[in-house]
Amino acid sequence: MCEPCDMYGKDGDYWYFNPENYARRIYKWRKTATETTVAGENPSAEPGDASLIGAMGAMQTATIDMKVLDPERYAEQVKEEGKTFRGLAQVVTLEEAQKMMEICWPITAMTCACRRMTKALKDEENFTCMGMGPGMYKWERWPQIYHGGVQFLTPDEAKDYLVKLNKMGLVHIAETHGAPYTGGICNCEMPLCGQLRARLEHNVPYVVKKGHFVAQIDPDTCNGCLHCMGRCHFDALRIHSGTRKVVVDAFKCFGCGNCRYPCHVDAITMAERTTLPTVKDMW
Amino acid sequence: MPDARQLPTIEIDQDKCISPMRCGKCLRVCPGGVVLLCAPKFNEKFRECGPEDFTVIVHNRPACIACKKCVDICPVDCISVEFEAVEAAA
Repeated sequence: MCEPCDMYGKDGDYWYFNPENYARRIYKWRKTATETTVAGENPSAEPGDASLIGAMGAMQTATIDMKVLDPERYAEQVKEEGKTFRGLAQVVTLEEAQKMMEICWPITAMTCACRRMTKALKDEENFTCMGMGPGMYKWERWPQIYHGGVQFLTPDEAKDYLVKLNKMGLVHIAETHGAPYTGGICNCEMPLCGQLRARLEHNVPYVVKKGHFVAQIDPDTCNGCLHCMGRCHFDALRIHSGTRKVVVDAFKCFGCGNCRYPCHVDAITMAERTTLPTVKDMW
Repeated sequence: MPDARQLPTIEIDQDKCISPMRCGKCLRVCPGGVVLLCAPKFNEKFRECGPEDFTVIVHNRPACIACKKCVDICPVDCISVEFEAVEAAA
């Protein structure tokens, strides 16, 4: 069973479909905690949720704070940072992300902090993140890392925007900014995205959790066109050269559903992770 | 991560590097995402920092393949990449 759904879910549904997790009340509570942490007397005290900014993941936070001083011990230090990381983020499919757009308000497109850092993308080319909730009204007061402005969207516009981002091949990740306050959807890719790199390259657990689905490919329908292969950010797809069929490595699949988009024969379906006994506890 | 193997030495001359937020050529050319933009007080609230405050730092050295594309593209020659094992083996 998915741990955050147990903790923050409602009526057995996924945690990001629980409207309480988008509530302003949680946000207000977190804001107080943030300012105490940042302006506190003891900066070396164990940081709270907010000083380890949720969206960026442990790896980049470590770098931003310039704590990574010893390149030889880089991987170890990233893992140490990851232990104090309290964020919660989970891969969602396009349909789930679109359903989230019906729950929350307001919805904005905002600039991606990771791409600004890794590729120095200009703000106008960089609107690939989505933010939700009352925090969007005060974007001028955000930390510098998120600057670049916001663009408010109606729920329908937001759904179209997600489709556009999905076509680009980006993975949607439901983000909390101090769990369980759900504040955004990151649209990530390897290797530009900090949190995905923390999870995939350095095995920092729970920076990004795997989604609730696993891709399944019907070998009878698959025509071996291989268009799906380039869409996977997790190395989960493989070609059986002898049969010209693509297979999914379920242990690696994060369930983003990205591979479905270019499939012309609809050979790929998403199965619930809990229905597959061997991977049902792998999040 | 392969900790045992030897890693390339990457040095960035911060005095020569000018406004990486506007330049950013080394960031875009790097295939492994080794170099990264960074600024002090980057992720704290109510701490402003302008585009000039950003610096390029070496972020993920294990991902560096020593292709030296960043060295070639840098307009002010502020990056140096050395990999000694090549000379040792030759």
